[in-house]
Amino acid sequence: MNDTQWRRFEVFVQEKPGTPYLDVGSVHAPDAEMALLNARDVFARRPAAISMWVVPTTAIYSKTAQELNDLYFEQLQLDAQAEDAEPYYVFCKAKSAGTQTLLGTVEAISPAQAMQQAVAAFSGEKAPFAWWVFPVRYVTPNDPQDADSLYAPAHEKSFRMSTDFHTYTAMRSLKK
Amino acid sequence: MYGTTTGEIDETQEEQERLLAFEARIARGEKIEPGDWMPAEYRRQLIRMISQHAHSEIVGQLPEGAWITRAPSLRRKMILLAKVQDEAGHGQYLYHAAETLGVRREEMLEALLAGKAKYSNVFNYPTLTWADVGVIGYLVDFAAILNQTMLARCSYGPYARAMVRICAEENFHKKQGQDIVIRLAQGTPCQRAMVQDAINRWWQPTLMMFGPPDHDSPNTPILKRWGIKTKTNDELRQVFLDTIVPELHALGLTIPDPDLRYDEGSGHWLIGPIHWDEFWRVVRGEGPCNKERMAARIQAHEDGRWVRQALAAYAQKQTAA
Ligand SMILES: [Fe+2]
Ligand SMILES: [Fe+2]
Repeated sequence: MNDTQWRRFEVFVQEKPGTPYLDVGSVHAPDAEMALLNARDVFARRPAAISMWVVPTTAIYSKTAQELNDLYFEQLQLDAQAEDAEPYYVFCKAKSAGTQTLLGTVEAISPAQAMQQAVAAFSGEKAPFAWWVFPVRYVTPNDPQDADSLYAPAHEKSFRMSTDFHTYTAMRSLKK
Repeated sequence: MYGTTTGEIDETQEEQERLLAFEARIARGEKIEPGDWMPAEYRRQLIRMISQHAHSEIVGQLPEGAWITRAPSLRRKMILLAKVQDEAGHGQYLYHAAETLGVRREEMLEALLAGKAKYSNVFNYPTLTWADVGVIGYLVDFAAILNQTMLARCSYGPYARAMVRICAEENFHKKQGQDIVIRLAQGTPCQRAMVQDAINRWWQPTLMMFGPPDHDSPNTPILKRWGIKTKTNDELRQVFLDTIVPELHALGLTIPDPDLRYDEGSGHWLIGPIHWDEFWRVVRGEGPCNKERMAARIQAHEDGRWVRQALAAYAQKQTAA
């Protein structure tokens, strides 16, 4: 019976060239390839993306500002089992109503150390509300060669846009 | 402590301090994110609301989906198909928002398929004519927009973000429906009669979408206190009436309520009694289409089984290779 609960993947979208990847939500899929296809159907039915990443949710190390306050010193202990350093992506939610947004990368030997470095390197004047870090190697991006076939068709479907319907004008002309 | 809906609230000193800090954050307009401390009752209320909301999006595909093959033109067919796809997407946004609170999508789907989950009553009514597609988009989606615009500002981050995405798409749903209603209202006598009949049938179910009257809605005080809702059921219903009644009148359509009147003093449209007996009957599973909707959903789940199995087998083969 348990045939609906595949792994969960977090979906990140780049909306325009040069803009940072943003977290948009998640999908379930048996593998990263299907996760990308599901992500396209769920999050890009309208012109909304030029590129997407999927990352297994279990690979994301997440801490809210509140958790960092409570747990910071405890987390430092976790760094005992060191592995080789590797690059991690750093995301944060800087605005209360915002979403996780890519800031850059750090090199670290563990998620907890990556978090520490992220907080040290990227905290601005106002501390972010929440942080995410994950190893770069967990990201599956769509093949740039597929970008057109994935995202271009949405541009032709203007009937999906509310601006295609002139109901305000129609109602105004009735009231005259 | 919080009216009639109090769950088990631990009264220890630390919990009390946590609760005060939590409520202070909400008062400052901060969003609560997964990982942050939250009262068990806040989590419970959100899981209840978000999962019901997700189920409503999923079951909500069915009444309109029935008209995809019978849409009167290719353009209308593409529009309707796009709308129904959106509702499937909305269901997914919401299941995933609920998952951030510690429930699994699978549990929620199983509850729906087992007939244990609630979803919006409005989807237990039949779509008899093409005009129903117009009236659902215009009235039902507009009612949903009012509720969802409020929830887009709610205190739980993942729910608020899902709602922002949904609201952007719902505007298209409402306008395509309104567009159909405007055309039919300006059409032949037969088309006008068809759209009037659809309004007559959908009026009461739409008003009920906002939920029971405030005096009969025990969750509202705590939902407002914790920033999940900012308006009550009756307040939202009134916004709906004050917008829709003048528009339907301008279209030359009537509203099936002999008590409907404009109150000069308050500037509001007032209505006669809502058929709450019928509402509770439908909630209990005795609406005109409850059984049909559940049967269709179960059938769809079963029909998709081989696809899920094939995908799982392929993924397994890839990892083995
Ligand atoms: Fe929807
Ligand atoms: Fe909708």
